[in-house]
Amino acid sequence: MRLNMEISLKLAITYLLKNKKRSIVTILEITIATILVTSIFLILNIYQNYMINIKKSEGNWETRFGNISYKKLYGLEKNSDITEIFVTKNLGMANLSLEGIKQCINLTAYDENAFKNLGIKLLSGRFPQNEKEIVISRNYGKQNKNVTLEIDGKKIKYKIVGIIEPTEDDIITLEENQIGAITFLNKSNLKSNDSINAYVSFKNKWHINDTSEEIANVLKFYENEYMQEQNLDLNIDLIKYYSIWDIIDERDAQIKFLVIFLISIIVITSSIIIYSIFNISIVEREKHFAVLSSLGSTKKQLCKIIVYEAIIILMISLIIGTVASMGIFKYTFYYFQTVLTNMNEALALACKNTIITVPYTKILFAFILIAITVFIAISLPIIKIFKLSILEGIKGRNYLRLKDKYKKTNYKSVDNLILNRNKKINSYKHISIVVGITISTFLFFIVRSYSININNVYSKQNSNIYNYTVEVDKEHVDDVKDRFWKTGTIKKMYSYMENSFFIQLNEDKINSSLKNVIQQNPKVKNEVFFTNITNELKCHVYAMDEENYNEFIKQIGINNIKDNECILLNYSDVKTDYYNGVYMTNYKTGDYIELYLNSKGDGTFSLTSTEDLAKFDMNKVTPYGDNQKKVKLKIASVTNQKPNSLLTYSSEIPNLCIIVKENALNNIEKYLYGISENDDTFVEEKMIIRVFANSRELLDKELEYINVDNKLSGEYMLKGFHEETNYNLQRWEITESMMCILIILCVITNIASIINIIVADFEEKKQYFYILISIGMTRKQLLKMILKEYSKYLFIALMIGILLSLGITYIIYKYKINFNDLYKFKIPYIEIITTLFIMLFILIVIMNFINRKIKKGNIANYINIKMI
Amino acid sequence: MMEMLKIENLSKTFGENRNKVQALKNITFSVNKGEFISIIGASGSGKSTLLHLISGIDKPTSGKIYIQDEDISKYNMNQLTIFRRRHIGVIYQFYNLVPILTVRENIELPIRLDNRRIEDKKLKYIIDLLNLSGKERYLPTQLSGGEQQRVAIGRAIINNPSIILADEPTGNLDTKNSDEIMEYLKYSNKKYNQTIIMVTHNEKIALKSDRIIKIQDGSILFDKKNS
Repeated sequence: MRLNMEISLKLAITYLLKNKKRSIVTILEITIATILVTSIFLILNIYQNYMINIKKSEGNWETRFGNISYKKLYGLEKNSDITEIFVTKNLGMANLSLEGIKQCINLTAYDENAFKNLGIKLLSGRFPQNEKEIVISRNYGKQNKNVTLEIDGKKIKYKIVGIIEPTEDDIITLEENQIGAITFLNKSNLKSNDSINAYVSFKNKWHINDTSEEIANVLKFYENEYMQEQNLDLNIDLIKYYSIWDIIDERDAQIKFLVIFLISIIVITSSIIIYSIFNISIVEREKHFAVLSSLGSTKKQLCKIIVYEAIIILMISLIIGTVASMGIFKYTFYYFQTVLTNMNEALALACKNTIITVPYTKILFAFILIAITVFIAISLPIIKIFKLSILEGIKGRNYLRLKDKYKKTNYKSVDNLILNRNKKINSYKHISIVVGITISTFLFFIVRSYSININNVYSKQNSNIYNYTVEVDKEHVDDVKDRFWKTGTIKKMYSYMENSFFIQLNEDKINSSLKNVIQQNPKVKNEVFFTNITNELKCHVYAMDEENYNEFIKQIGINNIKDNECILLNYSDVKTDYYNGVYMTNYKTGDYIELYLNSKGDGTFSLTSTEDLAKFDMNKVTPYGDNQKKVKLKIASVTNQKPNSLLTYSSEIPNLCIIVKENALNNIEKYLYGISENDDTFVEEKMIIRVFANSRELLDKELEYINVDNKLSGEYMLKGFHEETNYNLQRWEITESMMCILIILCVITNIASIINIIVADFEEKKQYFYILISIGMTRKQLLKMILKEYSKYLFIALMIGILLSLGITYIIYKYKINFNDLYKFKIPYIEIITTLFIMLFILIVIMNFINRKIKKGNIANYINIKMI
Repeated sequence: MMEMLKIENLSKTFGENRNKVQALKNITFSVNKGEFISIIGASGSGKSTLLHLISGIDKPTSGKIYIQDEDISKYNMNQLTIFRRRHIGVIYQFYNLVPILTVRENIELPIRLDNRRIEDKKLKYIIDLLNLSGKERYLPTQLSGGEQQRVAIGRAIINNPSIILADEPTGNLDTKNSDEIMEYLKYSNKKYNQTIIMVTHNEKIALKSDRIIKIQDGSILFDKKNS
């Protein structure tokens, strides 16, 4: 038995050494497949670590036990599953009076760890180090000044030691006239019944939800389930990245889909190519196997030869592949690190902290996957050995069988006859070549087509990773704009005014699609309508700058609107939740909508001053509800398109949005606030400037100048990044680059394998090519015949590849992108032409190779060999 | 008698320097139309090389080859190929049939390569003559050695060539099949007055021809008529 094994192994090694070129191509193929699969897992791992770091920089905690009494913190501190705890305390709303400035401040106290771990971004100064210091999220130019805050009737003096960016909670929860402030929390001063928020991280990242609930129950943090539900929060954004397969976020799910898609393609491509190579090698050795069989070798022993060959090739490939992928990945990672560093400070930090770890389990999984691929690929050729007839094998050309129906002879020319006969007899080879080229073209086009169209969407949306929104007093808008333009900071800028009012939506005006959504999820009703009773809806009124306004009305095809008219944006573009594509209202062009100032539902209506009512032009006032006035606007157009200034800006959607002329918003405000049209003392006019910067560095510098150094007169409020857009584009850019690298590797392998198959095919046919020459076929005729055959393969493969990839991309595109009118699907013509040229080039290379081979070969040497 | 083939001072050398082998040395002879000659000699004597040079699948180092007074040694490979398919029929020891084509397709190949139409009557006559009826749609792998060689003869004579060159046509066959093949060749020689030049190492087979040329170490040892 040992002897038999040794013979099989020896034969396997001998064959591999004898056919060095083919062995190298096979090793190359499996090596690249290994590189591709392990790289995908490495990328996944690095992405996971990277996202964990990003999310940790935004909040390095997993569970927040909100509003628990301080005495219960002891229970958490004693829990061995918990690795870190930090604490905050809500101190409440305070009134700030500072040299005439009156402001409402939401004050929170953080312990030392909370400052480090809650992602607070310091714009200037430092964090508080004692209970008498605060940092605030608005710059009054009063840093290092003392302020007095009045909390629950108690006046406390604080020193402003720093300016911070508004926290995410502040942006969501605070009203426009409120700002956030943070002081230092000294835990030793807390009383046992004081209510605190405890943020914790766990050792074991699995089942965090269950563990947290268990802790809350055991330590009796909350009186009932409702309280628990309200106060126990999980940092889902972070937790989901601990297990990449748990990610449900749509954009991350795309990465998951991409990973599965790429791995499937690699496995399928590799299987087909490895199958072709082994199949050719077995067909070539049929006689050899038949002779061995006639000498007493069992079919099992013959199969062992192939299995040994596969194992030897697999072992070499796996070792080279893993080492190469680690090397390549390390190199490319540093490249991406550099790219990310240039993009954004936070990302750079996250990237810097990301360590390239070797994910052993994932690499093992990749090994198993590749091994399975190889063994599946060789299974069919092995079956062929089992079916081998000794007699036919010895006679040779065991595979040359042809059904009578294929023996048609009425072909116009000899080359057509030979081509068709070849196709019928060597169909497996024909299919391998076509499939190989199809996969290459398919991969290339699917990436290019998807990329072109996604880029199209991004460019249409004016999406930019460096966008920022600044709110500026209208009188300073020109200063700020000038400053941005002059310093070359930005490439695009939009400015507009906005305000929100209420409208009441009658039942008949609620669109059926919105009704359906509400029926399916009753919670939505509370989120869309301000109150259940009156179907009140928040209505955002935007008045854009002239340039933006003209661009927009041109886009939607109207000439102008009057002061008492508006354009209704009747669309929701929040695609990640249940609002997807909801047309909210049934309003049509010519309908009227009526805006009013305060919610009718909350029953508390007050004007700035009751005396202001006297200023109203009573003829224009329509009595409404609690003495409120309403403004009636005629809808000049209903559109589902957003003006460029609002693209990517979805925070106020799905509330109803309307566009009016710049001065019209002013009039509406004055009218509803009860200020005379001629009264210029009304100064609440703020303008939003959205900038799209050329570089993050320049933008930061400029924002620091405007906000911190306060070198421009006036007061500016930072509204924060549109981070979703940032990550979306970054993810896409990184994914696209990674995909391109993977696809290029895949395409190179395929091309190498296709050339290998074609060369093997030529070598196999070479003898009868020389016979054809010996009986009178000219070299020109022969080359024409070969050219015809391979051009046919290339053309069919190219067509299938292009049509399949474009079809799939189109379906994905249509499914993902709802803006049908605005975003037309683009066909990558340049890529198609380029590919045609590449194919032509490959064809020329192959034909040149074949021509040289034929020219070099001596016919006499081939015609004296027994062929059949 | 009309001279069909004339060879003058034909030499062929393979390799260079130390590996230089002179396969043919200044060979001169001529063959008349309708003559059936055998070229005999030991293995490596140069007889097959001579046949390859006459058929134009290889080019001489020096010397001239005239076929019907046409000097083919000045032709390029393309001209030689066209000349071969129109004027020469070749039969090889290992048949050299195209494995993916049927019996019928292999026989009609030289005519189709010349973009001419094949006469069904003629094709049928050859198939019947070579006793291949009923096997027209067989692939070469489905035939015996003798049958394959008969297909090769069919392919060589379909074009009515002036010269048939046969390189060990019976070398791979048993006595019965060898005799059959020789009969077909002789028949073709007599009926169509075709010139046949056959290379063989079998002297018994050679005796069936009109004239025997023996080659030894690349030179003609003797050239004699058969009684």
